[in-house]
Amino acid sequence: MSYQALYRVWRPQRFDEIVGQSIITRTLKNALITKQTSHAYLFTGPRGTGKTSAAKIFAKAVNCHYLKDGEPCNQCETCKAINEGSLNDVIEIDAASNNGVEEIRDIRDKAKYAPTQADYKVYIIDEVHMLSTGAFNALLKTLEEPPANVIFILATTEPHKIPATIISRTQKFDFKRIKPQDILERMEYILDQKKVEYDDKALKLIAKAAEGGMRDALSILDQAMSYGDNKITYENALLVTGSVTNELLTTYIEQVVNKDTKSALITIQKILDEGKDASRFIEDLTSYCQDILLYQQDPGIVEEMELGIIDDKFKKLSGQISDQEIYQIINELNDISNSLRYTAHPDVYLEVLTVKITHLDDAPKPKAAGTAAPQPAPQTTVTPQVTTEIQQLTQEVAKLKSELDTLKQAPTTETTTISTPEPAKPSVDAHTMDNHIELAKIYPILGKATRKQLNQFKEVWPDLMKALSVTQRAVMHVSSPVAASAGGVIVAFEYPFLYQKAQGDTDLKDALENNLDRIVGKAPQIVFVPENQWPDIRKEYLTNHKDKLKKAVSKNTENADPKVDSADDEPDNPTEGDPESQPVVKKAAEIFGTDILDIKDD
Amino acid sequence: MEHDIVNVAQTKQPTIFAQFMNLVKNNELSHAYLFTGEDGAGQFSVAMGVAMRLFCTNVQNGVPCGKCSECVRIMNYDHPDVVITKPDGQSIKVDQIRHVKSEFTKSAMEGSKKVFIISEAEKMTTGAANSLLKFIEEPTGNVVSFLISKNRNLVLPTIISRTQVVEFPSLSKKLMVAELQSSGVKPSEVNLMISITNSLDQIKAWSKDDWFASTQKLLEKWFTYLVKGNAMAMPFIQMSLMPLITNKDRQRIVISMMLSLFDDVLETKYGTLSSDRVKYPGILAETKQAAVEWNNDQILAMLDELLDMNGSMAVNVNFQNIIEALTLKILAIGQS
Ligand SMILES: [Zn+2]
Ligand SMILES: [Zn+2]
Repeated sequence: MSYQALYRVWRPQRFDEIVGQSIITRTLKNALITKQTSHAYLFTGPRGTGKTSAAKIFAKAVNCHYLKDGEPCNQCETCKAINEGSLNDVIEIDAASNNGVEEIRDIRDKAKYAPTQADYKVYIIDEVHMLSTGAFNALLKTLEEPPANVIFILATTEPHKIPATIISRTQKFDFKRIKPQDILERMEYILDQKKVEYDDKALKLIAKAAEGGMRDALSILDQAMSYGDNKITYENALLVTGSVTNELLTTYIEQVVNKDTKSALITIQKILDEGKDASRFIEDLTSYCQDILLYQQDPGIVEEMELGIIDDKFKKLSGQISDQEIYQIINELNDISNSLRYTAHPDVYLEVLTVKITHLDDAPKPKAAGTAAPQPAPQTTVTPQVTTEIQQLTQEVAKLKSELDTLKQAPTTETTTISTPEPAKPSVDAHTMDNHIELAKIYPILGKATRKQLNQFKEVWPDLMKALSVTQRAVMHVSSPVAASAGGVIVAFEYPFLYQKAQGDTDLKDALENNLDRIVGKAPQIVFVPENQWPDIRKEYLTNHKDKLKKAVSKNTENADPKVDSADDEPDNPTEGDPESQPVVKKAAEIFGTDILDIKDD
Repeated sequence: MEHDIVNVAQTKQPTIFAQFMNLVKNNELSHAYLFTGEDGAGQFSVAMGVAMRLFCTNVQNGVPCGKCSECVRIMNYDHPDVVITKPDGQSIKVDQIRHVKSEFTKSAMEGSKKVFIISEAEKMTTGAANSLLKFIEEPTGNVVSFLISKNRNLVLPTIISRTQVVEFPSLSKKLMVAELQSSGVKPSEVNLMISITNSLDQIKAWSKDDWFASTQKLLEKWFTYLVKGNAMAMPFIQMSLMPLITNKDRQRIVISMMLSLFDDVLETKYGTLSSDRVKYPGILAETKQAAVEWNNDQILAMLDELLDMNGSMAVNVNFQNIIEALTLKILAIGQS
C-alpha cells in the first residue's frame, strides 16, 4: 500500500503550481511580499480546485525566511516541517470530524499562546461549513479579537452555509472551476515527468470528465494508468470514466434521425451487453444532444468545451438535425432519466425510448421547444372511446366471473362483483409537472423591483457569463434577467430542460452569486424561472398585488391621478387601455420595462 | 458461499480482480477505492479478495489461498484488521465511521495493514461522509478503504474525488447464461430470469423451487388471452395467478415478468429478437401474432402501462386490483 495517489504526490508546493487560479495566487503573493497579510481568510470553491493546497503554501510562505517573490523556498527547516505536517504551529483541522464546540473552544484557548517554532501560528480549518452553530459562535469570538501572530484559513465547498458574521471577518477568495484546457496541460506535464505514454484523446476525455476539479482529474488518471502498463490509452480512459464512445453516440443519433428503429435498437443492445450503465448512456446522450444544440448556435463554445473531441460526423449531424427534433429528444431523455434511477429494467426503458424517438414525427406535437411543460405522450392518453370499451369489458368480465363463481358453487357470500378499476386517467408523472416555481422568493423581489436594477443586471450579464465555467455557461447560455430588485434577481430560461438543469445545480447558483458579488459588490438572491411561465407568473403577481402597486403609485404621485379610482372598475385587466396612462401599468412598466409588457400583452 | 469468495470474484470480474491482485503484488494499491455498479457484479467479493490477498500467508499463483487462518478469519468477518461497515438500520451514521477511525488510528502505530470496507456507502449520512474525507485522503498508517455503492450519483462528490472509482460492469449476459446453464437452470427459463435480476444467487434460489416456472407458464396463458382480446384474462387473474402471488417480493417479480413478455413483443415487432435471447420460448407464435396485430403505438402504450406499475405498487393498493386494471387497459389498448 505504498503507492501514493497522483493527486497527493503532485500536490502543488508553490503558488505557481496551482492551476487556474492565477488572480488568487497573485493577490496572496503580493500580500506576502508587502507583508499585508490578513488574520483570517475564507477560501471557497468547488472540490479539487486548490483551496487546501493554497492554504498550506500560504502557511509555509508566511513562515519561510527565504521567501522569494512571494513563494516559499520549500528547502528550509520550516518549509520541510510544514510539508511533513510536523510543525506544531501549523494546525490542520478537519471540521467534519471536529465539529464540536469543545474543539473550537480548545482552539480559542490555545490560539492565545504565541507560536513556539515559527513566526505565525496558522490554523487551516477544512470543510468549515460542517461546524455546528455553537462552534461557529466560538470561532467568531476568536476572529473578533484576533490574537497576534495567528492566521486562520477557512476552506469550504459550501460558502452559503457559513454565517455572514464569519464571512465579514475574513478576506474571501473564490476558487473557480479549472478549465479543461488547464487540467489537460497539467496532466501532460505530470505524465511527461513520469515518462508515461499517453493518447491525446484519452487525456481530453479525462479533462472533461473531471468537471473542473484537479483532484478528480488526477484520480481518474491514476485509475487509467493502473489499467494499462504505464500507458494511458483511449480505451482505458473510456473504461475508467464509464463514457460511451462518441462514435457509438453518433451512430445512435444518426440511426434515430434516419428513423431506423431496428438499427438503433441493436445499438442499444450492444451498449448494454458491454455492461454500460443505462443512466450513464442517457447522461452522455443528453450532453451530446446539448452539444449539438449549442453547436448550432455557437460552434466556438462547443469546440472550447469539448477540447476538439468533436469530429466531422458530429459537425455533419449538427447540420442535419433540426433544433425541434433535438428538443423533442432531450425532452424524452429528461423524462426517462428520473425513472432510470429506480427501475430494475433499464433495458426496457431504453428500448421504449428508442422506439419513441424514432417515431417522433408520427405524432406531431405542438411546437415543443419552450412553449409548454412536457405533455403526456399522446399514446398514453386513454381516449373516451377506450374508456367506454373498458367499461364494457368490465361488465363482461363481471358477468364471466359470476358465471365462474356459480360454476364453482362457492359457498361463500363474498360479493362477486370485482372492484371496478378507476376510469383510466392519463397518467401524469410527478416529474412531468411543472417544477414548482418559487413564488415565495419571486414575489418579494417583484415587490421591490425597479427597471434601473434590472438594467444594471442586464449590463453586467455578459461579464457574469464570462466568469462561469464553460459548462455552466452552456446552461446559462439562453437565460436572461427579467426582473430585479436591490436584493434579488429573477432569471428566465428559454428552454425548460435548461431551467431544470440550472435549478438542480447549487454550484451554479453559488458561482453566480459569488461572481455577482465580485462584479457589482453585492450577492443578490437569484431565482430561476422557465420563460414560458414567466408571463403567467407576472400576470398573477400584478393581479394579486394591484392594490399594493396602486398604493405605491399614489404615494409616488403628488397629484393623485383620477384614473387610479377608475381602474377599480376593471380589476382584472391591468394592461387594458393606454398603457402609459395607467398608473398601475406604469408601475409595472417600471418593474419590467415597457418592451416586455408590449410583447407579452396576453 | 463464504468459502468461494476468490472464486466468485474471479468468475464475475476476471479483469478487475486480476488487476487488483497485480496492484497488491507490485505494492501499488492506492488508499481509497469506490466500487460502483449494480448489485451482484462482485464488488464485495473483489474487496474481500484484496483483503485476503494482503493478509494471506499462503498465496497461490498470486491469489489468496482461502484456507489459511488469516483468510478464514477474514471470510468469517472475524479479522481485527479488516473492518466491514454496513448501514445500521437505514443509514451509516457518523459514530460508526468515527469508531473505525479511532480504532485504526490507535493501532496505526503498530504499523500493521488495515482494510476498511464500507457496504452501501451511499447510505452514509452527510456527517458520516464528511468525517470520512480526511481519513481516506490521508489515512494514518497503512490503510486501504473500499467504498461500495450501487449508484455513483448518490455518493458525495467530495468523496468520489478522493477515491479511485472502479465501475464494475454488469455481468455479461453470455457469462450469466453459461454459468446458470451449467448449474442446472433450464434453458427455457434462463433468459427470463436474467432479464429480471443480475443476482446469480437469486436466480439459483428461484430455480430450486418450481414457483418461477409455474408463474412463467401462467403468464404465457394470460398473454394468450390478451392477444386474442379474450376477457377470460380477467377471471384468470383471480383464479390462477393470484394464488401464486403470496408476498410483496413476488408481486414485483410478476410485474417484471410481464414487462419482459411485452419486451419480447416489441423486439419481435422490430426484428431484433434473436432466438438465443427469447424470454418466453413457449409462446413464440403468440408473440409473433401480437407483433403483427398491434401497431407501434399500441405496444408502446402497453409498455408504458407496465413501466408505470412500480408507481402504483408504491401506493398501497390491493395487488389484484392493480393487475386487473392493467389487464383491462391492455385489452382496451389492443382493441383500440
Ligand atoms: Zn522555506
Ligand atoms: Zn490464505
